[in-house]
Amino acid sequence: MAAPQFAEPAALVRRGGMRGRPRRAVILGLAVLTLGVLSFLSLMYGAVHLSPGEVLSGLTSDSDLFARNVVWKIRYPRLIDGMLVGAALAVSGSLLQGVTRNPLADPTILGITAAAGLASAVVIVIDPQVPQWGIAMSCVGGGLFGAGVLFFIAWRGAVSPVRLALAGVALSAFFGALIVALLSSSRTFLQTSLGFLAGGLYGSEWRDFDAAVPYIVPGLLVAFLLSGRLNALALGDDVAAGLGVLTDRTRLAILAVCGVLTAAAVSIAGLVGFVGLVCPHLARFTVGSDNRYLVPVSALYGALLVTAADLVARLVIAPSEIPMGIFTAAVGAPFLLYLVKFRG
Amino acid sequence: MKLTIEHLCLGYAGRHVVKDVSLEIEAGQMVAIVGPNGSGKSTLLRGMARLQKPESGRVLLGETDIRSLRTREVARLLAILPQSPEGGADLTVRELTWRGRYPHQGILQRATRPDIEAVEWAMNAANVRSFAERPLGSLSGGERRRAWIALALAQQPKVLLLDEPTSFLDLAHQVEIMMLLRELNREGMTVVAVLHDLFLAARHADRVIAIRDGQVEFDGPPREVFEPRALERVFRVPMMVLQDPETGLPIPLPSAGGSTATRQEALPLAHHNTP
Amino acid sequence: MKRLRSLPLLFLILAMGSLLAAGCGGDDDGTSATASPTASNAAGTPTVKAAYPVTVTDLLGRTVEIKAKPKVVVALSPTAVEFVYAAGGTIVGRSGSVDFPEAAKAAKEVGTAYQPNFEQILALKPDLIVADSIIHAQPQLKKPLEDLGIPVIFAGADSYQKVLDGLALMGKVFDSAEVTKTLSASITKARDDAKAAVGSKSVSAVALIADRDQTLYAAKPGSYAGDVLNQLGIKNPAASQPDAGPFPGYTTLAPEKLIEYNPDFIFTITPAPAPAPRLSTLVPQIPPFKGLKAVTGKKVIELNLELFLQAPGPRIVDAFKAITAAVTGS
Repeated sequence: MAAPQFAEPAALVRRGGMRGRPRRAVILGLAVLTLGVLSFLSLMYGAVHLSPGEVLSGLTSDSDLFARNVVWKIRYPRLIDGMLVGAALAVSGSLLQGVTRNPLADPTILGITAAAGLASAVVIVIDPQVPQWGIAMSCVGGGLFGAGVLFFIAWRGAVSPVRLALAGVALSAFFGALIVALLSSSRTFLQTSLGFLAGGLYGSEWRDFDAAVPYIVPGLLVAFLLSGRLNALALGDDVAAGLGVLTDRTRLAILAVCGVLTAAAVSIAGLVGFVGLVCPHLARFTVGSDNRYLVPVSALYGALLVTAADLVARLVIAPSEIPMGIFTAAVGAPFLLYLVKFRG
Repeated sequence: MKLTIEHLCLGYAGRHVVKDVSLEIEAGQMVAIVGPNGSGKSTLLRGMARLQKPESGRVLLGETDIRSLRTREVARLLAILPQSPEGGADLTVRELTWRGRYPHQGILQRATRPDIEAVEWAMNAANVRSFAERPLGSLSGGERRRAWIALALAQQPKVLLLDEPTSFLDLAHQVEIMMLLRELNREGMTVVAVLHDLFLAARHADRVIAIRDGQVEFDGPPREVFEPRALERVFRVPMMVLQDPETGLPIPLPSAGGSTATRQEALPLAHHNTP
Repeated sequence: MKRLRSLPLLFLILAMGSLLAAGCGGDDDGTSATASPTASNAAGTPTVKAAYPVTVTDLLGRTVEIKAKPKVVVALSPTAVEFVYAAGGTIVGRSGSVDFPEAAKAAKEVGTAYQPNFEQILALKPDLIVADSIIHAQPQLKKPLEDLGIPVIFAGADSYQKVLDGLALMGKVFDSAEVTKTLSASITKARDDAKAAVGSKSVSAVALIADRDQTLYAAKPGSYAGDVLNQLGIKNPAASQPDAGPFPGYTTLAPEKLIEYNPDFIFTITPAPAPAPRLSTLVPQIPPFKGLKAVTGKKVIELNLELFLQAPGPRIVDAFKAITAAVTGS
């Protein structure tokens, strides 16, 4: 074996220009650990507290019927649903921030969430008994529509961040107004509408998981595959095209993925805000702006944020609960102010 | 690698910007494209780099129509540096350079030995090592321009196209960039640069192509083509051409006033070396 | 991988659910608007003394098998709680804001009616859940309840007839048909007496609620309060209004309409709790309403929130009495 010409590990460390890889590894390790701990706490605590032994027994066997029911039918699906929602929204946010080159981009701010929510409200008002897969499907239709509108506004990326944000605010307000109009004239949706509008995981179960997974898992995979192209796109359209990226087609694909991911999250949890805004920034602090790392790390942080928010939402005024979206907003809104003040 | 342009017409929304241009750029040439603002020289460069779809005509990279190649394949042979790339301010120079490896990397592929070697070479060639770990946003104009060149070099192109690589740079940095391009050219790279500065074009290019109203006005080695009347036709301003006392190369300048004839008389005044 | 294990389970539940749903037709009760004096017929043929297990059809038309007399019961709305107690049952868990009967207050609170806490329901290890066929009919609540693996029946009331139907159902569930029949008969009698006392006066009245923005909504016969008026033969000018607004059975009432109706009585129900002003004091203060018959004659009357809005159920007797007292002035 010939001696390697380059010191391989050192070269790899330098590869992404990553300053302090150990620090990054520590933070990521901590995030994974925290997610694991929070997950287990989520399975233990709620309106009823279970011991770790009961949780394990509930997860793995039918021996303790009560633990089985609480863990397997209520908390575990809700936990998984929450992680999917968080990952989907955070990845959607990171893709949008990349593709629009706008640090304020987020599926909620750009109106995709509201578009999906409108579609969901429409089918529920038309047929209150619509199965969950029907809700998920119409959400995806709405999300793709919202993303499509955004695509034509942001065509060729020549739109300034300010104009894009304004367009997003307009779209968001428009779809949001339609949702409220629909809800206030509907007679089926009144009492669940708060959880829907603020975003929450109350009553979230395997049915929601089954309906959303066919969109979220492929969506996340495609997002990871597109992240390299997003890196090129971040350098500007001409540079990206020069590097061999079909810019318009890539942008369309990325926005479509954002639409699908956001919509699937909305079908589970309603209009959860700020996850898509905050998590990509947190990820950027940790791993820099290489989207091949940024996108998956955003997914991790999204899952973490929603899991934490939902745990708090369930515990604060148990046995009642507060919509989880209120806590993501409570974290997200101050963060947005911070961005405005210090990061321009 | 040879770049051939055949009857190329380019335009935006019905406006014809480049009109039936045909050129052959031989492998290893260093070509400057000059012309007034709005003459279509940048559009021509974009057309050569397949960034703009031709209305008619075609561009051949080697023997192949550039449109028949996959865009990633083109990116492995030809790199283009736009005039003022907007993105990437938060990237370090090294990160930026690595992004030039995009056309060589598979979707899930990790960095390979050739990738690492190419990036090292590009950073050395563009002379960015001393500030490799600094973010782009913190660099001076000249350093930033070199960083972008490093990105293009990491593609390991056979043909390098640049749109005004020296604009907004001070004299020292202009010279530095041109020396760098000359060096790359000596190593065999075909270099085509749109240049604003006629002096730089005369000093550093093997061949100057002047564009006016989307058409080639003149085309040839600077010694032959830089003569006042031709330049006047291109730039619509009275011109004179001095001679560089060191190299004998022409130095085109806008004339202070008066007729072309007086300027031609002025020419020998600068010829200290002329016997 | 874990997911794979739960798939067959889910399939089984769904399959059983759909089998059960297919097994029973709609239990229709389309007599609410024209209830006859002998309305206790809805209790069906007397299958009294049927030993457990007993199979019942709940008010959503679902067939549920009750294996033994329910002892540990969770009731998820004020109506459901009252139904259980009316049939001689007791509860261990209930939704929030249940004030009647007194004995029910001691039961553990398991979330609100609109947001029951499934974990706490399970923790009580009930052998029967009584949910509300009005509140919990939407799939987002109904399906999770059915998935808990505990027998659940849906019983609620938005009309006089539904109260009788609910009592008949609970009589079967708790094997106390005699008790509920007697109660039903007394409810019917109370209705007939009240109708006799009120009907002769030939009065018109609207029943109003308001939302936070003080938008007025008038009860139509499709609502519980509207049906109470209807059962007593009171003319409700809002009855012919098309449905509008978010509250089922109520219609958005423009102030002009109220002036046009100029009813003999205005009944008001204030959903907001105590410190908030009662709607009955607000309505007469609204300038355009000052000339209304009901305002000048001081016939704007506040109705009990529980009896007319929050807890429809066996206490409909008291609701009939309240209206009778108001109309006859006794």
